[in-house]
Amino acid sequence: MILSLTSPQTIESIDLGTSTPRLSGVIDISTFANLVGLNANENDITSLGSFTSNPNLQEVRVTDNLLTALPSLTGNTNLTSVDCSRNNISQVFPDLSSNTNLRVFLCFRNQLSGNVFDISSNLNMNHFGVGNNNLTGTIPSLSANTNLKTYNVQQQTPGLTGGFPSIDNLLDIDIVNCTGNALSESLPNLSNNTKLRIFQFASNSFTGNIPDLSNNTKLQLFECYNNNLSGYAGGTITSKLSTFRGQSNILTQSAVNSILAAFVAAGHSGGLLNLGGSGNAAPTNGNSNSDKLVLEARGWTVIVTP
Amino acid sequence: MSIQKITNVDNIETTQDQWWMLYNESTKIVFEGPLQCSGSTTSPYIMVIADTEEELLTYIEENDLVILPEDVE
Repeated sequence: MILSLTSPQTIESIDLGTSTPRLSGVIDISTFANLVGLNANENDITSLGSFTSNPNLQEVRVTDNLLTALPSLTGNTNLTSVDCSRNNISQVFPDLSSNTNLRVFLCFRNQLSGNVFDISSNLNMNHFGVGNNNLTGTIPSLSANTNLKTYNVQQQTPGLTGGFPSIDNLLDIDIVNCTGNALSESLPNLSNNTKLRIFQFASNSFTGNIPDLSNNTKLQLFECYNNNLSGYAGGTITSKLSTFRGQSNILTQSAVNSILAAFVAAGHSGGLLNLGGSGNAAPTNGNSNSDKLVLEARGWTVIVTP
Repeated sequence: MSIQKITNVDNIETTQDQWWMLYNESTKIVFEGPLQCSGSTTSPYIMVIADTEEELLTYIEENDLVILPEDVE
């Protein structure tokens, strides 16, 4: 596809929309010197030309195309948002260190390789999502990213390793997802993350305790299944937490009993509490456990080791 | 191939090899699963147990059930 206009330097925004058949070929924006926004979602674009002539570029949306690489973004210091999810991008993680105004970087479902980019220079980053790629190595520190609201590194092949970094400084964090990696060590302390709504740390090799969730009053979904967690740090459960998947760990009977009791104390109805699977101990008195019966009477779905 | 539909889900035991799900008869929304998870399940929803995930996916399609995505991208 070729964009040909008489005065391209006057254009600030390009939205290619959707069409049947889908647009294909190469997007070359080199003559659009004042371009601020490019939207080419849901086409069959195979390549983006260089962005070096577009210093004003702020937003790039090129999801659901056939891209195999991203152009260098190092000169595009005004970039605030890039979404290139669901392409065939197979390159090492792009250098974002000069994109200090970047608030959104989404590159789900591609074949990015190498390490997860260290976003400690991207202090304005709000949403960072690179799930379902081929990233390796450890997750860099997030302590400088105090504006982070979502961080998603789920389902890397073969999987990220090491521990998950502290999120003590992430006071605005809403969603954290690292499901489906090879992460180990303990789950992060969550006592400062009072805005946390979704916590997905399933299918890794985390050990130690399920953390105290007393301060996570907005938590709705907590997933830590398929790990090696053995205990529960205790504390209260927020009344909003309606889905808790902790199956297939090595939770002790004491931990299972304490979790059941914490949900009873929370007092709400109609959720999902899965403490079954392989490895977890049965609650005291098994299916006749008094807290389990209370939850079931409140309309909860409860799964335990019998 | 075997599909088992259970309307009174009261301490139903599943093995690690079985695939199962829970769905709301009124809304047709799948509440949990399809998944493999051993244990004893009690739930106000309908439980369907099968030998394979494909059997459950076929059941979902044939009965117009809906799986709501939980992952946010």
